[in-house]
Amino acid sequence: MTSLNEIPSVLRGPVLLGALTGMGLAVGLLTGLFGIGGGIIVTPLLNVLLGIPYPLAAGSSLSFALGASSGGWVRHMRLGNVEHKTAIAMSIAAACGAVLGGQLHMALKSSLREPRLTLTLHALFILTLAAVAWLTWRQPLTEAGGRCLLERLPLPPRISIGGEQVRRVSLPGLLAAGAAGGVFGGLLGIGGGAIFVPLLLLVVGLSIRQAVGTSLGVVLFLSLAGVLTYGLRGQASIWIVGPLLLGSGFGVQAGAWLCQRLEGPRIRRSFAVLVLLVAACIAADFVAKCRRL
Amino acid sequence: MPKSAEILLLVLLPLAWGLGIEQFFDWLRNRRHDRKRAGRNL
Repeated sequence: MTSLNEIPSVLRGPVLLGALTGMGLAVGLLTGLFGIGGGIIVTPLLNVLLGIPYPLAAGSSLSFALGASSGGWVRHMRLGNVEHKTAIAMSIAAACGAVLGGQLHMALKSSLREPRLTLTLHALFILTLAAVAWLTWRQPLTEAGGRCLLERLPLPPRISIGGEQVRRVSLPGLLAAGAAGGVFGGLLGIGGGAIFVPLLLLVVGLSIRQAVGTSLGVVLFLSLAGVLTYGLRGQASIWIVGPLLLGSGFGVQAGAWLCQRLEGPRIRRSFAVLVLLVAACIAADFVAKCRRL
Repeated sequence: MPKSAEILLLVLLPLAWGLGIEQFFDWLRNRRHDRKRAGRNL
């Protein structure tokens, strides 16, 4: 087991643990407030703010996502917000995709020398965060009365999904969407809530509640596969995951409390601005590292 | 600690924490709710 002082970071010992707990608290607050897992913020910030190398940040962030998604998934299961057939098909595909994404990350690590790996992943994160901010800033994604993309896809066999409105969607299309999200999540070391919620809304045609509940289940299995892939190569540390979990456990409750006292559009737009701020923070680090090249 | 034990910890600790904290706050909310109801019934 990696000891605390062996973690490559700009901070050491108890200061590092304190910073990680604080980060967990802040990310948990955002999870409670905005309903997004936080991996998309945790992984790049572990690298940019604490100087933890991307592979270790990605593996640890996936383990953190496992804890962050499990409680929420159980709650949504109780509320009947999980579309089971979609969750099973997408989870299997996403878990396979995450293993592939993790292997791709390791291949990039061996083929690209530092700081090229960091710069490549920084660029991917900036693009992803910009897309997430744009999707969030737009008007709410209301369910279109028409057919969703997977209903129109002429690729049999088809399965019936959905609660309020039954849809006949293409199973290969559903598996491909899950696998694509999984590769992306595994490569960047994020649970993928920010990817799967829009995917389930726009491509699969689920309602917003079902999309959130189902996405948490997919994130859980993606993270599990990701942790095993990174963990087997020693690229995940319990010293990083533990404090993050401790902080986020309380942050989530505070965020959920705050969420009930703010207006919906204000919350949505604040989230978009925050995501852009994180992207700007990564971009600043990107420019600083490019200058040093 | 062997690698397999560390991986097991990386999987089980977050799961246990995630599920445990959810149950704990659920219990806390229910208790507060029950107390408020009991207070109103007095």
